[in-house]
Amino acid sequence: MEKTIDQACRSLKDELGKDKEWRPNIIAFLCNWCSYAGADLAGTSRLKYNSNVRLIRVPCSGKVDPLFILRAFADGADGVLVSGCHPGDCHYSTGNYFARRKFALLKRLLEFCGLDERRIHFSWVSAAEGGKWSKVVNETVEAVHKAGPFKGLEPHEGSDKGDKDE
Amino acid sequence: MRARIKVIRMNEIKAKLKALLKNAELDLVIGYGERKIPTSDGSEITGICPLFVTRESGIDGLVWNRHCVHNLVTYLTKKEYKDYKKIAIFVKPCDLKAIYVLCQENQIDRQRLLIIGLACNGMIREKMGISTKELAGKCITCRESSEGAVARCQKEHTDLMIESTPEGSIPSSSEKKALTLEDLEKMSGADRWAFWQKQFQKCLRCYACRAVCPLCYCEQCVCDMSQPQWIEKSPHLKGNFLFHLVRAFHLTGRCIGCGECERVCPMGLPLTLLNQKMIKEVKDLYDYESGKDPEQAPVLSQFRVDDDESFIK
Repeated sequence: MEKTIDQACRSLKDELGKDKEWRPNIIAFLCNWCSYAGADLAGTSRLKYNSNVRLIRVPCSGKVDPLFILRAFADGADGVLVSGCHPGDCHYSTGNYFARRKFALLKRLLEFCGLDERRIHFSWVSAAEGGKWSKVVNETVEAVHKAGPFKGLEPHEGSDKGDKDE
Repeated sequence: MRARIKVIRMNEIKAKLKALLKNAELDLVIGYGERKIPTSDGSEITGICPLFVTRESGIDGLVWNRHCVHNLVTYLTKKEYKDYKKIAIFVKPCDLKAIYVLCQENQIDRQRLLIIGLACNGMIREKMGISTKELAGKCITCRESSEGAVARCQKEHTDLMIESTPEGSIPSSSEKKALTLEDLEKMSGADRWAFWQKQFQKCLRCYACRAVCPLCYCEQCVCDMSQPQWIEKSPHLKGNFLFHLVRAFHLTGRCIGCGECERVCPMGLPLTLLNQKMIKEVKDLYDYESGKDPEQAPVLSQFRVDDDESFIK
């Protein structure tokens, strides 16, 4: 299991690099109590979903510092997904309510900076929603696939090029 | 309840401060003073700088004019000034908002402060310590806002107030129109990305914006951490992008728009655009304005059950 966002990005890149066709590299932050259990359920239910997502387990969606998301992009992720408990179901009662405010503002800030909105996704997935988890992953992968590889922050290449769509 | 504040003139304030310093009822005065700046042709010009007074004799050096653009509140949270028991500080209405935010976040004790409000109707823009002839950027936004042309110090939160506005006419706005938030919002995403990349690439990571910000008071900044190193320290695009976005996000719902970060930036990054954008979004989403009330809870420390979640699947 990877210990840092950087390691997660790298190991996923190595794995995806073996494929001939480009596949998006997606980092997902999952809350331990709902979404991670939901993803587990998807696995035990033998639901199939795209494998190019690396999961990072966090205690609560409220633990997801916007810096984690920014760092994932800086480390080479093409897209980021954050998933937590439905409002009202938080293990810590209110963590996801605070997270919701942070994510709403972060999303607007990133869009203002010109980051393609198809690269950043948020979802509420409960421990019983294995089916929803596989659907969310597939939708995210599809959206990031459309947005193309994220090259915006690569050194030397990045200047004046912009985050090109398609 | 607080007594009605007294409105007095500068020379009366000076006399009062002298008396307070003499009786040791006051330990430090943070205000504006004059300094000489040498120019390339060997002559000197007079500029304004922050002035720290601990003795009676220094009080006469205090000035108030159109060049007092600095936000002095930034010194209140610096550790060098933590030992002073009672501090008198000169604040313009925009600076006062920073004190409100610091009160909200329990960073300063209001009892330690003697707040001297300054009536302000526009400051002159300064570039690398040298004054221009134009109105400062933050004053343009302030004057256009509903608060009106002559911004007033919120009377209930200042102890003393100088109600005479600085002498001389209000400077004109810059002729060359700078890029506004609206211009940037109209651009396509790809154009905005290109714009910000170009800007962030210029950054030297001198951290002047961080040093001058009255609300950047963390004892250890995440940008200085090396174990783990969250943000690359070399001045390259990747680290610069992270630094500026983290900075903007840490000020989200807190920034009072004093524009000091942009004023001190040696590379001329339009940092207030990021801050203004977040001020606008916070107002739009949560109907919250920072620095309005020292007693309200910060916007990210509260929530409503029915907050917008249309962006969440």
